[in-house]
Amino acid sequence: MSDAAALTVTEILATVTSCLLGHGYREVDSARLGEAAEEGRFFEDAYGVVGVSVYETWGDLAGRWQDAQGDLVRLISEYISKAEAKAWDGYLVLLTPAVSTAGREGVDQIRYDTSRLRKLVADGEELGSLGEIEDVLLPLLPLDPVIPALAEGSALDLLPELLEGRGIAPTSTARLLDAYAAGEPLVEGLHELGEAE
Amino acid sequence: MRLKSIEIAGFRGFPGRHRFDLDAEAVIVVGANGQGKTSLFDAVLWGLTGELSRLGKAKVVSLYSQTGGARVELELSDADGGLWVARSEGEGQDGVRVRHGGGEQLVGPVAEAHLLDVLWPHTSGSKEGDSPLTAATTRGVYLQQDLVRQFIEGESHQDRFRAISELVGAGAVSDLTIALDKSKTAWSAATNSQAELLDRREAALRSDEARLEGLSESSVSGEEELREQWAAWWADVGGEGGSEGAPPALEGTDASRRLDAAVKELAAVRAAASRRSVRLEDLADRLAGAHEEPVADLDQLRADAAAASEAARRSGEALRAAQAAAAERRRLQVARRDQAEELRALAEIALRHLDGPCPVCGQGHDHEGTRERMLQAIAAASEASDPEPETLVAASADELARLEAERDEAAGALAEAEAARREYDLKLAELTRELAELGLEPGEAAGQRVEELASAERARVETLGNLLGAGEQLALALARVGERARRHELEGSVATARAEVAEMREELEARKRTRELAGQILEQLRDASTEVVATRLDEISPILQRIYRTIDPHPALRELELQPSFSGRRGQLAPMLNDRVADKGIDQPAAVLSSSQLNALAVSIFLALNLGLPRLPLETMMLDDPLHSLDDINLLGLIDLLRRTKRSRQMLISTHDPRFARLLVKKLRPVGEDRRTRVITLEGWSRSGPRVLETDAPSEERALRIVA
Repeated sequence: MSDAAALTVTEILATVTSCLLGHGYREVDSARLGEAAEEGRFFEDAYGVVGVSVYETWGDLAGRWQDAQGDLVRLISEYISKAEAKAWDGYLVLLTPAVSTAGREGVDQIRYDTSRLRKLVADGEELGSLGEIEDVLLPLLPLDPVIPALAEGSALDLLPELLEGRGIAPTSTARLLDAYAAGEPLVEGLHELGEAE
Repeated sequence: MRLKSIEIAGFRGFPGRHRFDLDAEAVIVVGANGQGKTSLFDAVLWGLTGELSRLGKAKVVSLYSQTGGARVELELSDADGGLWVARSEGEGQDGVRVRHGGGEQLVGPVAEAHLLDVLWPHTSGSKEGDSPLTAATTRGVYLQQDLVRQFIEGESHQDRFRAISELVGAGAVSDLTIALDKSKTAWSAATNSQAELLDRREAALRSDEARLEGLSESSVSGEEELREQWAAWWADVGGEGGSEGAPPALEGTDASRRLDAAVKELAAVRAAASRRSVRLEDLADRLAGAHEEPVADLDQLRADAAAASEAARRSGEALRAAQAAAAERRRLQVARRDQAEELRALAEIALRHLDGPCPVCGQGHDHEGTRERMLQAIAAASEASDPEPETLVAASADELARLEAERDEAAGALAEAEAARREYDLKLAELTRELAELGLEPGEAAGQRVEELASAERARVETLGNLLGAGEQLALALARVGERARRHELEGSVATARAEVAEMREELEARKRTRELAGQILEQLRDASTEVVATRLDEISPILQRIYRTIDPHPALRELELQPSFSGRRGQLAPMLNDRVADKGIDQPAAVLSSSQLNALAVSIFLALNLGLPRLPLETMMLDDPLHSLDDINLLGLIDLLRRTKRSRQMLISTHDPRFARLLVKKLRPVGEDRRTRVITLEGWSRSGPRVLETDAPSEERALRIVA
């Protein structure tokens, strides 16, 4: 992989594709694209339809993003009626490895255009690494893998490891916690452990 | 635990009774301001906790309550079959009732305790501020409209730390620390008591060891020989008339005491025999010198004494007569002298008044003749002499003295002779009596007989003395046997005590080691509480970052972390915003963010706590009109975030904006079988409450529409 400033369009597109597919999206087969543009890739999951376009230059992005938007809107309308809720779940990802020649204002102008579809825009200044590419896609990705299951345990479960780092044997901490949970005398529990050892 | 339904009556914006079906992944509550959206969410909070601290002391009972009180009933679902909670106020039966699973209904404090145990069991015992369940619910489950930015703006770093500490359950670590501290204190007290007991046991052991050392190991005669000596001695004692009753057994517990008593009795007998022996010898001596009768002629002595007494008496009478005559003569002489003296005084006076007539009769007189006579009277007085010494009386006194001496001598001789006679008579009578006691008649043979008796008594004294000596030897032997037995017993008890002391020492050392370990753990636990918070914050950090980046409130400050710091054992927590590109950061977001951005930040933190904490009272998030001042991008970011979380969290979200509500219905639509999104519309509020319209959002059975 090439360095920060040297990400190519292919690398960016491959990263986006890998990320979306890895998070449950499925790519729309080119045979189903119909009148959709030859450029761009399209993905769908239960929550939305995503069109991805990566441009070589900022000028290309600024000049052609509306075509990409139109392509995605047409694709959606071809399969989903306007009355359905998913018709409003279109997302357009517009990326370029080049730095915006219109400054941050140029980027924000597209980003804050909420007509028809939500746009996720990033230029070379924000795409310094593969991780930053994923950051752009965050609104499209499920949180489920990140959300921990509500645990039955408590903060006390952290203590054996925490105290081991401070020189207290885990067996001692574990015995202490057992005694505490059972409502037994705490120091007596430690003493019994010492006697057994 | 998720919400299934709620029934509200007389509570804030719901004067009448309303029941809402909340059994859905998402519940969207729509209504203009004042229609009861917040009242519905507050009812959930109040039903669970009994508190609405946001309202202060204001009552929750609706002004138009149809019953005069407020009542909320909640149904929640969990793996144990469900929880039912009913809370009322002002209806005469204020308080809470709880039924969990198929269990019995609980009421009052027991119900509150069970509720806390089910919903928030890992709470600390802290009593500051809101109850733990309320604090956890308002910080992690229910984002109240009026308090959206409280965590960022309204609290100090220390307050934030405490809040997070309670949410992550670090309070349980504090409780454990307190419990361990108490346990260690009790253990120390018990260990000190054991140490004192050990000291006493060791002192007792040293005392026993000293006693053991003092017990002799002298040899004792064989048991059989001792037994023979014992029997023989008691037989001899009986023969001498001492110690009535059967002799004690050698092994008997009273053997020593009986021996002691017998020896004392024997000593008394011997002393009596010794005295008797001395008396007999004395009698024999007295008998030997008893025939010398006094020779003095008492009659003659009496006659001599009488004659001497008579002579002395007559002499005494003569003396007295002489003394009387002499006294008369002296009296006459004294009278004559006194008279002469008086005449002289008169003469001297007369001489001074001689010139002229007689001062007495007034007649004239011969002055020269009178003067001559006066002078003669004066001369005669001068010549009057003292009485002459009486030689006759002296001679009589001498004679009397001589006769009295003779009389006394005669009387003394008589008394001496009489005393000698009396003494002789007494001795004779005493001897006769003593002989009679011995059954003897006075005479020459008596003396020999007494000698024989004295000799026999001396022999008995010697025999008794030997018996006494043998008894003392027996006592010594018995004492040695007893001492040997005691030594043997003491050796055993000393050995046992040594083992016991050693065991106690070992146990005490073990207890001290345990105490030290407890102290070390305690020391580390005091820091562990803050480390638990730091660890949990590390765990939350990825989702916090994800949520913040998804909502993306600020174009440059794109990193958020909740940064703990510690001053001693006091924790602080600051929300830090960082710009990695410019390498800048700030812990006072209000200084740089706009109102809309602060709201987005606050919502991000709330969602991170709701989604990132390992445990919450409910698997639910309740957002009461959270979209004040959020711009369109933040709004879309939030909605995109929310739609991705409703599989993990039941979502209740309210809005006053119908357009936004429609968007929410679309975005939060149920996707797949058995999924449900509920829409509750509140409108047209009146004194009986709002009009309520409940519908289900249309579901989408086929998730993928374009992909084949």
